[in-house]
Amino acid sequence: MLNKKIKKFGPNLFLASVCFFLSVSLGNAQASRINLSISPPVTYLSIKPGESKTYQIRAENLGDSTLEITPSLLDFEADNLTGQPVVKQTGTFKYIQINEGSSFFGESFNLEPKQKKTIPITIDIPRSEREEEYAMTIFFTFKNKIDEQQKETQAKVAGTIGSNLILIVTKNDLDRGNIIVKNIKSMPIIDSFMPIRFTAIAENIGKNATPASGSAKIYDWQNKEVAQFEVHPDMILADSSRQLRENEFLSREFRYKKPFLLGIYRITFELNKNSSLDSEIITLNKTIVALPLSIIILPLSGFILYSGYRLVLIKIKPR
Amino acid sequence: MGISFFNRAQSASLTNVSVTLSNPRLSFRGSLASGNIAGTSQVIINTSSNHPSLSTAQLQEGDSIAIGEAGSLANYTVSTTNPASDFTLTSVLAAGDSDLNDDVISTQSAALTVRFTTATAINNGRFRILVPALASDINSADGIPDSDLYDFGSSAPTVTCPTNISGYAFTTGTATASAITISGTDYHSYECAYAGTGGVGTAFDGTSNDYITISNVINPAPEAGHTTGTADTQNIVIQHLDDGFNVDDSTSVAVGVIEAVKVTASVPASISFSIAGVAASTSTCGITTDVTTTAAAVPFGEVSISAFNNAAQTLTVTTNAVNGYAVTTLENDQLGLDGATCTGDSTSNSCIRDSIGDDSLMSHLAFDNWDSTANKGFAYSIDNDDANTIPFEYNTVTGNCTGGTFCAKQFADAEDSQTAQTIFSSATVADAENINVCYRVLPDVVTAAGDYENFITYTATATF
Repeated sequence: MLNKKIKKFGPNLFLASVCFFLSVSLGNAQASRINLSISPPVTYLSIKPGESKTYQIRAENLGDSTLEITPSLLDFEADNLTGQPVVKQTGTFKYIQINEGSSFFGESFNLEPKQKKTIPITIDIPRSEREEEYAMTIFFTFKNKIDEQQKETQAKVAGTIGSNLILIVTKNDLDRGNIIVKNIKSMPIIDSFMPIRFTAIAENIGKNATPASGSAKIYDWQNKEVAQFEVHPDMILADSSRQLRENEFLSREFRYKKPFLLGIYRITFELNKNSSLDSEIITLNKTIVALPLSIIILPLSGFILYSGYRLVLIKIKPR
Repeated sequence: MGISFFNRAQSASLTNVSVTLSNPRLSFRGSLASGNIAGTSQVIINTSSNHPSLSTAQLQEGDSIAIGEAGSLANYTVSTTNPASDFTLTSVLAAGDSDLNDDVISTQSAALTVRFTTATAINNGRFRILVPALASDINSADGIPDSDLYDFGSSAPTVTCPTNISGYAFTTGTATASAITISGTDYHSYECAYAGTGGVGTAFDGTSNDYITISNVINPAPEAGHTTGTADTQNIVIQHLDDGFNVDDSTSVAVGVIEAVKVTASVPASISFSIAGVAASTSTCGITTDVTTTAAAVPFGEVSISAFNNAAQTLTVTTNAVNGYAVTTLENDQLGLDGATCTGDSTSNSCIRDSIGDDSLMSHLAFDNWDSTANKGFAYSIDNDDANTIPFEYNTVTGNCTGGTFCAKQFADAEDSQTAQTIFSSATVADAENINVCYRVLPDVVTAAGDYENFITYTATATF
């Protein structure tokens, strides 16, 4: 009787077991990768005191498992070099909220695989708020909805994506950015066979973020322009600095190479103070000298070595 | 290619007739609306009346366009064409080119190719192609597009007749603006006369013999009541005449002109970040992993106190943010017994402290090699696949890692007020740039038995 039942249900049981095993395995496989996309990654928003504005952030679950997503808000400051935000551990801006039913910062929501969700963010500035720029990041911390509860030595891991918001509270739409070239770094003397290499830091001492725009030029001793580099329009936040990049290769190092350089060269940065049409142009110069050092030093060092050798010989073999 | 809609026989029929336009786009002939400002790139057109073109649908990026008062039009180039009432220029409107009702003209010209097979043999005859035109000789040949009619152009187009064959010794083709009127419709006339007897069934199809081409006819502007996306059609007549200009054979062909299909797609700026588990026995960071990780955890399980316990995860970033991205990492604390707090660099036996490396120089800021099991703790390294920039890698052999094989760093410890550290980044767009983060743990022999835990957060942000 039992044998008959086994014969009858055995194949079905086997199939069911295989299906169960596969589903568990698949579930684990699905849980081994999480992937969230956020758009936009950076938002620049201008708002007047007393005004309210709403913009949207879109989250999309690109993975195969349901994600539990928790939005949060933290301040950031510029790293004063590359434009990477340095996130602080506090979120001080009060006039921002998620404008959607029960959602708010710190409150989790679920996002199914391949699903998108639009998150409306409302900024409501009191009339009394002073003109200022705020840099903050809206973070979305994501993890599998079904967390793996296991008791063992482990490091639990969470992913977070940030959407940066640079908010400018201004009574008018005037660009009050004020970029200056802080310094130009290069070797003061270079070998004639080496390229002229230099970097530059620009600082925005104005009231709002504005893009770097302008050029770097190299003039020879006859004041003739021998090279020009367009500056990449990187955004420089208010009260921060950023290393300038040349526009063609997005390199932080500006480089001018000729087979042979000789004499005095002047590096000049000409940057617009801000993006307004009648913007003042700010200039900073640095002078360097190109000399055939390798040609001078090689024979000179040979001469010195030879002289030393002669001296040693004289001392060793007194007449 | 243009579009031949149908053949309609009149007297006797030329057969296999087709007329194709090398460029089937409608020309644009519109006018400026109010609100245009000299010195700006935006152009607002009149969308209600007065001119054939009432929508920028007939324009596309890169088109040459003339704007201004008749007789003093200036040339510009179209940059973008959205919405229907506006387009932008690659330059700015000059003074005097922004007035209400100023002309806005963008011509589309085409070469007409005419193929046919003769029905009869006509001695010393001629082939004539009639293209619909304005009645006025001046306006039909001023180079400015006409509504639903072809403009002759300000100079005569070239008519290229077939190469001579038996029975057909062609003369040079001729073109005459608005030369013929049939049933109240005016036509430009383009002719290829020949000497010879001609022939029945001679194919001028570009294969057996050459076809006739007419260069640079100006395509029509939209007809009145034109619907965007619907072709305006005009009948072009092909005739075979005898030496007395009598029409022996005639066939008309409808040709359509239409807006170019505008394909638009909006690509939003975005950043995506993925964390993936890595299976046990995977070779990465110069080691073989001991446990399988998931996206959410690095489950070391029961760890050895005499040998390194290794694991890994894969982190991937994709972004079209022009200034790139950075991924940072931060642990909430050192590994603590049941997640208990490990204050500072705690060496309590209820903490697995962050490793200090073989030279006691490792920190969250400084890397150091960690190859000796005499040194205990928890640390990470990086195996770079294709990330643009990384601060170090497992096989870094400079500085403190000189002479080592596993170069590592501590995780920045939030409990100890350390700031998150960048582990990979790019200063430009990134297409699935990824690294493996390799975790290594080795508890001290005095570490209390139990389950140790901490939380590590990886944060991807775009560079502003």
